[in-house]
Parts: sequence; structure tokens; C-alpha cells
Amino acid sequence: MEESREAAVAALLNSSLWESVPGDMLKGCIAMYRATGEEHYKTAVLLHLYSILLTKWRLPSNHAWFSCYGGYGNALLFALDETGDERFQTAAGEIFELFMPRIDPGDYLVRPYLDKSEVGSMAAFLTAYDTRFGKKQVYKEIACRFSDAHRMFFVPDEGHYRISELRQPGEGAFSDDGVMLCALIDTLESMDMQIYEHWRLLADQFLTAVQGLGRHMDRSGVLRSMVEAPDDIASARVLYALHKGVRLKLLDEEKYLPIAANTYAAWRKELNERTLCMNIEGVCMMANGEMKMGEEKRK
Amino acid sequence: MKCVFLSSRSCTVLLDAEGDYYAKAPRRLFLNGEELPVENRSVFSLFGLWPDTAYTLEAYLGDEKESEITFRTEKEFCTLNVKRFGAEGDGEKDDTNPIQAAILSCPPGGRVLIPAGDYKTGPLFLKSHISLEFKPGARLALKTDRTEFPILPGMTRTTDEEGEYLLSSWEGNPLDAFASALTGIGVEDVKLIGPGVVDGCAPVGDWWVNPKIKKGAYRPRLFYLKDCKDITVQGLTFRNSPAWNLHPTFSENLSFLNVRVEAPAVSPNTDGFDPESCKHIRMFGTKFSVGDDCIAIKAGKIYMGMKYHVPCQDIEIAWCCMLDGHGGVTVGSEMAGGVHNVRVHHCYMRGNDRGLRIKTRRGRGKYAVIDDILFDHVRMEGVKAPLVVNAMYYCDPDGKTDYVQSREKQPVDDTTPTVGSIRFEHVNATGCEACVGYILGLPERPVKEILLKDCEFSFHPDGKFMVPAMANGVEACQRRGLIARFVDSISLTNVSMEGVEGEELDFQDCGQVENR
Repeated sequence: MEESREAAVAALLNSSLWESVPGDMLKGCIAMYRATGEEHYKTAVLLHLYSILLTKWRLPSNHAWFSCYGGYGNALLFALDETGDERFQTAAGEIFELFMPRIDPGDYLVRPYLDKSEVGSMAAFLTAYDTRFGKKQVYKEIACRFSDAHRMFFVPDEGHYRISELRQPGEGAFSDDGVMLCALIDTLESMDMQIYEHWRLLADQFLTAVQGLGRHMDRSGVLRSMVEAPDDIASARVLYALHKGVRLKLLDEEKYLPIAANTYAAWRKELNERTLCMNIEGVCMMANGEMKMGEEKRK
Repeated sequence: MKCVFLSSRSCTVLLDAEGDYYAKAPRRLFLNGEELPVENRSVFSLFGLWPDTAYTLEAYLGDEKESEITFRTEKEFCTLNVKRFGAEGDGEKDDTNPIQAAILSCPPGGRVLIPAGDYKTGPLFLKSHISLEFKPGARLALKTDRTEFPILPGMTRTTDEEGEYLLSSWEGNPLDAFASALTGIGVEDVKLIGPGVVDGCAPVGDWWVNPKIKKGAYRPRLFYLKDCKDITVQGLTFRNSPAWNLHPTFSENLSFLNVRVEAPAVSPNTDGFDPESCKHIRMFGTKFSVGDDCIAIKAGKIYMGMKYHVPCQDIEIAWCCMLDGHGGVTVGSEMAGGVHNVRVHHCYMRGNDRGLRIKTRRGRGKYAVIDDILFDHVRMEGVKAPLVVNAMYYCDPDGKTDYVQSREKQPVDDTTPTVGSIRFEHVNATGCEACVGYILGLPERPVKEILLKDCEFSFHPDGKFMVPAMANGVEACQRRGLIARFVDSISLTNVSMEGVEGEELDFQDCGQVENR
């Protein structure tokens, strides 16, 4: 377990190509740094960002890479906080401008809506950037997109999001839940709660989605089908979101912490049997870091 | 002369209904034949009375007896002195627990007595059917270490996760805030009686340092109510609050009599009185000198407005004095549940930036209707802009977005607020500086009616420039008349403006105008 994590962090350190590193790997390192204070996680993120910033920084024009942008955007804001180097803000601003739904004075969108995939990968970063540097003009649009996605893709009878049209019921059942729950909880964390109406819409949606997961809980309070699913990345995302929901007080600790903790323990046990790639390791670190932060806070 | 409130140990009297905060002439008073100090206020209170006792109060104008009233004070079951519960009142020891114990132990009809002394306390929670009396020289000094304050959760989901239980409020949303010096949750029939002091001690703490940043929770108020009724505050002084001073929410039948509210002119968000989604309120004979709005009548932001749509209504503000502050009486900007039927009469305002200040913005919602607001017999001195209505208020986290600030007509929808009838009658304002009035409605929903009748305005010869309304594109002005944009109907009857530079009336995109 530890070996694959060390390998993933080392790969991040040695990479100067942003296409080669999943955004979740950056988020995972940041989560672990915040949870443990161990410098090598921060160093890995900063060195990687500096290497691409100083050598090859430009936004890929190919939108196929959009799934990277959100993770990179948030990592750039982290780097800005840690170093004060304004180049990180400039780079983050470029990503924001590329994706921000521009709104004209008549409130009609000039740019097409964020599509369903972009919501999952970009919403948290766009919100975080707008909260810090903008007029919070993007909140309304983000809330609308989440609301649309929830209406269109959440299947109450299954207790799952089903975004991928090709996926059959039961197949990779938690993959869309993982993406949506992560996007929701990270966006909620980035929002200024004083614009309560949008924050609350997302908070209610997050709760509904988590309640949906309850359908898949066994008698011991473990989300068994998720533990045993081969889709580890989806499981890690869901667990990350559950732990973060409890830490941010969006979920009742008394009710949801045992579910999150028991499922996490069972899943980690299963996971030890498998070899992890960088992708999965990034999300595992996110979940692990989030769990540690929650534990620390409860002390 | 009329008795407007009685307790077992005090009463409040309306001495001169024709005066403003100050009576038209001072009166000599005799209580059961014993002469009292000369009184120059229109509304005053007597303390130190005995329970269940008959009194006769006589008022003399010069040597001539003007009027007389008789009254009997209420009965009282017992008095619990906080010192018997272990309070020291030495300004050093933490007296929170002894005073809280006395409050919780007090039976219905009982009185908790706080004798003279400095009582260092954290937030105290009220209980129904009691009086809490602060003797002269009694001072609650609020602790300043926020880590010692309980937090009131803004929103707690119900156990079945279908509903919500709201406890705290911050600027119109259900957000976590520290409990207030005096906090009432779901209590009724409570009397807080002076003449002591509730001191927030904010200048010696860090509440006013980076005030916009939430540190653990939002800042406490000095007096906070949620879901309460039949509450009277009489003769207390509230001073140096960390944030707003008096903040009742979702409560009814509230009286504030002869209260004083004091905060430095530069202190952040130290509004004097902010009733939010409350009804049946009397605010008589109160004096404000604060760092923000003296009175700000509110009804939440859009989440609260759309979910609960509880307006703030039936409010009488009379014989009060508003000094300094950004607004004398403000409505909004959080007003999503609506604000109706507000009567401000026989008041005196001096040195405020604005006299009547209406604030709203797009995004407040369909229940956000301000209507039937009356200023009658109000005297203003040195108020820079006596009347300001602003439907594009920008002091919200998202208040400067294009959506809020656009001067182009937007679709009318569930987020559009409404400003109805605003009336000024018998208003006398001298020493104005910026303008007589500035009205900015929405192009898609103009202000319905502005009516000025029997009003006199004159300007200070050295009046300074000031931005009258906090909206994008509004420039500072000086010695201007009445400026209006996007108003359906404006009526002026017997209105004089002395010292205006340029046109007295500057109207654009307005409908019917009458000037008689």
C-alpha cells in the first residue's frame, strides 16, 4: 500500500507534463499534506506545478483534457497560498476564463452551458476562483447545472446517479455517484455560504444523493456492494465525499460517520489485495486525507 | 399623559404626544406628591416602584398642572438576587453561571435582580414569564474571548432529514453565530428592565478586527430573540456590541421603551435595532448613536423569504432620537419576506447619512414587497440625504454582479422585488448636504409611489458631497433636489426646497408626476 503511494508521489515529482498527471493525484497530495503536515506531499505538488509553469505552461486547446483542469486549477490556488507566487494566480485565471460561463447584462449565456462532464470536473474550481477573485457571478450558473444534472441523472429508485448512457443498471453502479458527490462536496466547500440559496440547493442535493446510497447498506452499516465493487476509484470518491460531508457538518455525524468509517475500513482491507495505479492512488489519498482531517477535528 | 407600560417595579409614560424625542417643553413631575427631576423627553420611565402599589403622577407645565394619571403596579411573586446565587459583580470573576442559575430558577411572575456592580458574563439565555431587572449601576460586561461563547447553529436538519430547525441568523440567512449577551429562544412574557447597562466590550476584544471574516461563527449580537412573543425591554442601555445590537427574529408583540443604544460612529455593522420577520412592534422614546443603521427593518434573504415568507410588519417607531449612523430608519436590504405597515412618527434625527433608507436588489424574491412606509412629523438636522430608495443595493457578497446592477430591463420573475408606497408627511429637514432624495427603482419594476406632503428641506451652506445610494454608477452629489429613476408615480404637495443647486426635480424614466 505504502509502496504504491510513494511511487505515485515520486512519479508526480518527476513529471513535467500536466497531461501525464491526473488532477486527483494533485488533490490527493494536497489532502494528505493538509491532514498530516508532511512536507513531501506539498513539495511534490509545487515542484510539479513549477516544472510545467516554467517550461511548458499553456492551456491545451484540446478540450479532451478538461478533466485535468479542475484538479490543476485547485492545485494552482493551493500553490498560490503556499508560495504567494502570483504566476499561479495568473495560470488559474486562464483556466477560469476558459470555462467560466460568461453572462451578459441580460443574463443570457454567451458561452454554452457547462456540460454534464464539466460540472463534475470543473465546478469546484470555478466556484473557488470566483469566491476569491470574482463577483460570485458563477454561483447561479453552477447551481443551475447541478440542479439540471440531479434532475436528469439521479434515479431515486436505484439510489444512484446514472450519467453514462451506456451503463446498465448495476454495472459500475457507483462511478457516477463518486464523480457527482465529489463535485458537490468540493463545490460546497468553495462557496461563500452567505449566498445561501445556491449553497443550500447543493447541500440538499448532496444529502439526497447520500440518502440514496443508504439503499445499498447492509445490516452492519457497511455499503457492502461498494466495498466489493471492482471500481475502486468510485468507491474512494464516495468515501471521500462522505467523510468530507461529516467534517463540513453537512451530514449528521452520529448517523453517517459510522457508515463512512466502517465502509472505509472494509474497503481498505479489500484494497490491500490489489495493485493501485496513480489514478486510484490519488483518490485514495483524497479519502485518506479527508478521514484523517475529520479525526483530527473530532479530537 | 398616558401610561404605555407597567411592570411590578416600573412604568413608562407618554408625556407629550406632540413632541419628538424631546417634549415641546420640559415638565415638572410629582409622584404621589413627591417631586421628581424635571423631564424634557416625550416618553420617559419610572423605576424603583413597589409591586401592587397605587401611584398618582402629576405633570406641571410651568406652575400650571397639565395632567394627571393614576396606575397600580403589577404583583410580583418573589425576587431572586443574583448575588445569592454566587455572583460577585466585581468585574473579575466570571458571573455567567450564577446569573444563568438565577434565571433558570425563577418561577413565573418572579424577578431576577441584578444589583449595582460589574458582572463579567458570557451569553445568558432567557426564560419565560420572568422579569430581569438591572438596578442603577448594574452592568453586564460581555466576555471577549470567542472560544468561551456557545455557538447557535444556523440550520439543523430534523431527525427525519425532511425539515429544518433554525436557531441563528446572520444578515438574512440561517448561518452559525455566537450566542448573544441576552438570548431568547422560544420564550414569552419576559420583561428586561433597566436602568442598567449591557456592554458588549467590543473595543477591548477583537470582534471589530477584520469583521467581515467569519472566525468560528458570525459575531454575536447583544440581544437576540427567535420565536418569542410578549417581550418588553425598558430603560436598558446597550453599548459596544460586537455586531448588531437588538435583533429579534420571527417574534411578535415586542416593546422597546426608553432604551439607549450606543456604539462608536466607526464601529462595523453595529446597527441599533434590526427586527427581522417580526410583527407588532413598538419602539418608543429610544435614543440611538451607532456605527451603521440606527434601525433596519428586515425579513431575510431569498432562501428565508421563499421558504417562510414571513414579513416584518405593523411597526410603530415614535418619539425616538437617531444620531449619526448610515441610516435613521432603514428597510432592508434583507427583506425577502416583505416589509409592510411601518409608521415612523414624532422622531428626531441628527447627523445621519440618510433619514429614510430603503434598500433592496434583484434576487430578493417574489415575496420581497416593501409597502406602506410612512414618515410623519419627523425632524431632521444635518441629515445628508433625507430620503433614499435603492433597488440596486450592492453591499452583498454578489451585489456587484451584472444581474443586480444592470440598468437594462430584466425579465420579471420569482426573484424580482417590489417597492410600493413610500410617504413623507410633515418632515422638516434642515442642514441637508447631498440631496433631498434619491430614488432608484428597477426598470422592469419601478417604485410604485413616492408621496411628499407638507415637507420642508433646506441645505447646509457648506454641505459636502456624498454618494446617496450604494449602487454602481451613482455619483456623489451636493445640494441636489429630488432625483428619481424608474418610479411609477411621484406626488409632491406643499413641498419646499431651499438652497438647491440646479433643478429641484430631476426625474428620468418616471411615470405620473404631480407637483402642487
